[in-house]
Amino acid sequence: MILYPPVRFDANEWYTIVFITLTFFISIMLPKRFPNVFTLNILLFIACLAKFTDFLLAAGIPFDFYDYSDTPKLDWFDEFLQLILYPIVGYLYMYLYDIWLKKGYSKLLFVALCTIPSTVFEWTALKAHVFTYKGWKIAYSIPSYVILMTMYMIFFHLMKRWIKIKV
Amino acid sequence: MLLFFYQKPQTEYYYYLARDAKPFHGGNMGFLRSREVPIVVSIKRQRSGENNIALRKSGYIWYPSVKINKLTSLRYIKSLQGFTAYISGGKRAKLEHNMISLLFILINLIMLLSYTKYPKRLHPIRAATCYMVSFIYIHNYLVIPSINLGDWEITKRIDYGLIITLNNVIAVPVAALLFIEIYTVARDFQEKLMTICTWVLFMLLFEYLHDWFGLIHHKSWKISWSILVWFFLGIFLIVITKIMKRMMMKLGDVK
Repeated sequence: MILYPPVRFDANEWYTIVFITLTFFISIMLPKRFPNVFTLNILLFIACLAKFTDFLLAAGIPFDFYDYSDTPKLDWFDEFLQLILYPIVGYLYMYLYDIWLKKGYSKLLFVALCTIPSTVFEWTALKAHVFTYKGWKIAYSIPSYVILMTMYMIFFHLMKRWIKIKV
Repeated sequence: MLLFFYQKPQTEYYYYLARDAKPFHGGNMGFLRSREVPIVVSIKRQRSGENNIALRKSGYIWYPSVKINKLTSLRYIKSLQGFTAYISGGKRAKLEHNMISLLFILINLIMLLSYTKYPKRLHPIRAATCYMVSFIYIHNYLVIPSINLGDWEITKRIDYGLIITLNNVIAVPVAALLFIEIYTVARDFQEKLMTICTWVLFMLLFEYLHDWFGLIHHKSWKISWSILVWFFLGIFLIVITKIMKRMMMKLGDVK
């Protein structure tokens, strides 16, 4: 089977559905701040980072520190997480970051502040069995989020610079 | 305590392996094909009492990464009849393995240099989109046949795994970018068709280079499926760049 359905439709699936619905509606309700090309690229970039991180740390090629949802195999809900939930959450972060920049606050403080909800989100996901750790610890996720948030911000600035180029 | 650290001195052994050897615990013997003569090159003893076995097949070294219990595996090997295998220090195997890693690093560098030197016509945003789309596609292409379908087997060696990751981050997406750059300057249908055919052939060669050097193994995967996969990625990228061009045109009034 190319993508597996969930073994049991339980807490982790509901967790994913609820969070996708919630974040999707929040992002739709917010006033449009970026052009479509910008939003598309932000979403793609975050999906890429999610794919890359999970490939490196969870696919068993070469490391296997955690599993997603019910099976170590790739199922529909893994894809929903990587291609829908993470990008939307990342988009919301970038939305906040743009407002944050306009206010002139520190970028470092933004990274530090965003690491907290990300870690809390991961902890709740762990409790809902969205992840199954196989040697990974939540403490390792904190520096990972700092790196990821910094990469989001670098890409954000890069996109802003590219948008100014005449097409 | 002394017994725990005791290791037998390395000696030359002679064993037998069957041509159609069935998979051991982790299924790594499944890498051997029907017409290949597997030769045990080295057995590295672990402290836990397990062994890492290096096998030589088709002129290159393959390391099954699953640690096989010495007693059971050797008994199993001895029980099989057919082809002579030998065990040696494995220094040559290590050298060959380093050469394979170096070769792939070199390919990545060449790809990167070719892209930086190539005159670029695509807007950076369009190029970034193509890069990211091919990046996601290639990750799924590697994971789905190996983990979900079981048509591939991917090495469990950490260094080879990192080489595969490097190829996924640099070589393949950069090759996709080069393909799109060349495709956009192609003038007529024939040139475009030639570009697509070259892209498919190049990626097919690159994919089977992984197989040849033992980074991945196509078990029940067919070459025609690979052709379809690369052809589809090529077409998908062409469509994406066209959509992106339209979106970029609308971007004119954005500051």
